[in-house]
Amino acid sequence: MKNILNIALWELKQKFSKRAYLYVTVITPLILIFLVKFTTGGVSERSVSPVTLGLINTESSFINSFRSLSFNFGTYNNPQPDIIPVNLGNVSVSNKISFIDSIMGKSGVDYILFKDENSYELISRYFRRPSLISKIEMFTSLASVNENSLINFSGNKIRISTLDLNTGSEYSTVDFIKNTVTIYLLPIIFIFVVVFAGNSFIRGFAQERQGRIIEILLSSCSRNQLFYGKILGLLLVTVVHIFIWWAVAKLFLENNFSLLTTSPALGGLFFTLGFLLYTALFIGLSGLITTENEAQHISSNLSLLLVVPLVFSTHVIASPQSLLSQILSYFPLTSPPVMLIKIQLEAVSINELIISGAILLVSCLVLIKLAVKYFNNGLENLPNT
Amino acid sequence: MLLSVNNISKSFGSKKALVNITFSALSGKITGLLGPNGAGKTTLIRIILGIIPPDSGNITNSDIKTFRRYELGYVPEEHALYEKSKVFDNLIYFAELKGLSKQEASLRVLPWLEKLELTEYKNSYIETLSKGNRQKVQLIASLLHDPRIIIWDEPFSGLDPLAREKVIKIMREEAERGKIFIVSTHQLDSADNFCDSIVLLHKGKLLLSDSLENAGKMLNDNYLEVSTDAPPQFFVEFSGCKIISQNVDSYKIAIDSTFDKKKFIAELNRNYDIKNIATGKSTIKEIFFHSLELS
Repeated sequence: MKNILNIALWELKQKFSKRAYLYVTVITPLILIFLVKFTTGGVSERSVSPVTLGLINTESSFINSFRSLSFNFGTYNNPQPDIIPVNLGNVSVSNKISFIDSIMGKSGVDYILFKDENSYELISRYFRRPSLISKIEMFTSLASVNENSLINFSGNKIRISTLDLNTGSEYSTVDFIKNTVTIYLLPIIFIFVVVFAGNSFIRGFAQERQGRIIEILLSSCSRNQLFYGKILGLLLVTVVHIFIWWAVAKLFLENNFSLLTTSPALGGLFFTLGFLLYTALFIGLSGLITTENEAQHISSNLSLLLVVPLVFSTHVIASPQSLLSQILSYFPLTSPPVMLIKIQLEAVSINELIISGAILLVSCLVLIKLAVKYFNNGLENLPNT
Repeated sequence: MLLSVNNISKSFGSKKALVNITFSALSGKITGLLGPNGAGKTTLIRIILGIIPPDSGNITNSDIKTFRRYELGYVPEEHALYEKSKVFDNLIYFAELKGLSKQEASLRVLPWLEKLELTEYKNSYIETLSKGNRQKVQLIASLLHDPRIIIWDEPFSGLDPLAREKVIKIMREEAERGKIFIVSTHQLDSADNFCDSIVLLHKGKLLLSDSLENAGKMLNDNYLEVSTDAPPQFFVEFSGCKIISQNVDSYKIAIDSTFDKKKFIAELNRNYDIKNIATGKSTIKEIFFHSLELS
């Protein structure tokens, strides 16, 4: 255990003892913060357009109450209503979520308010949800109907109180940071740290092999100690790295920043499992590598794998329950960033969490076992001079 | 204390890297693991260190059946150090892996740095050091935890003659403290200066394993050094002898069982001047080639 810790701490020291490395770690989030903070003024213009609200209920009372209100509580200067209610009919569906999701995908409806007997369900295109909540809040306050259950539902499930909306449905910079940047941020950080840690390990290990440091290490500790020491080291480097970024963001974005706004434990779990999965993959493959050039080639190719979930992230945000989103949430190589998005959106059911988490955990254990094997095989074929 | 290498064999695919290697290394003695490139020295060292397992055979220590890793001190052929880290940090890290506490390791580092004239480089980055100084750092790293078994692979690489003498002195001191000291090199010429016993390998096979004294004696019985004005033709024509080397008016000749020493001296004396005839003192290189011929 002591050797595992020694190796891990050495990996940490190797990274953070270099001034250039430390500077880059601090400066990068500063540049990103500058870009987000001072360039998102234009974001508000993007959302100055009517949004559609689909209304579905199995009774007629709720929709009637909407109709009776004439829905005139918000207009733009042109003068266009800022929200357009669409009656999606009096339907009864067995699978609400997938039904609503398909409507939203096909019809371009932004928000759907679903009422079934006495319960309400709010479905939205997630990145715009705060605006809808504000509208629903306005509606329920303006309407003469008593919609306490709706208010309760919204209040419990969605953060209304922290919203800072401008007029109409425009987003402020603060909204943008909270609702868009935050959703993308954690998956992007995940991808970054995995690529960074994987590349840095695979190249460092190739150097250790080429320079035969690996022989000194193996004459001092067992292969398993070396393997787990390296994994722990990468985890420590990542934690410190994220902590620095988080601290810088907190300092410069004050209270408008949070890495995980919802379910930090779940987000942390998927982040850690995903990190272990990819790290094991990188370490296992390092057994096949003998030179730095090979290391660069393999790590670049592996990094491409991580771009896949990012490519689909817009789709996942817009339609978190679509078939593609589901597949991406269950496939172990894409599930960590996809689940991080879904957890942020609160667009994930308990079943999905359990299944995705279980698949990820099992894959992680299997991959670590395989990685140990390939890592060990690689150590059999050390270079000779 | 004794380190026994028993019937070690190792193959990589169809290539036999080591075939049935058996020898013992005694404490208090410097054992030279010698052979040309590709002889199997590094593979054998890796097996002794426990880095790779043998296909068959085992390594035992007379004190304990399986020796522990912290009892080993190892210097590989390359300069196996973290280039971007400082000398002191490298040494402490390797010592900690060998079981020393940071405080203990720190205390031991300074005297060694002083001994090898590296004190001023304590806080230098490895990448800024000369080749010789890097090698010295490596040697220190292998000794810092006071191991009972020391294995050095090409320890003189990059060292100037002065540093080389200093390192040989350290080897002697460590051996005299009862350590098992194995030194591997393909430079057979230099091994005469420090080896007490030799293990000669060639193409994965053991040619010879004995004390240098015994190996030399065995060989010296089969060699003569002759100083004479006789032409080489004389030795070619005389039955049972062969010229090994020639130097102006002196010859080193190998003799076999058909060689008649009395007749040789008489015939040489009759026709030429004999300045000196003596039993040869063989170098490790000669022992190696002789063993190779025998095998």
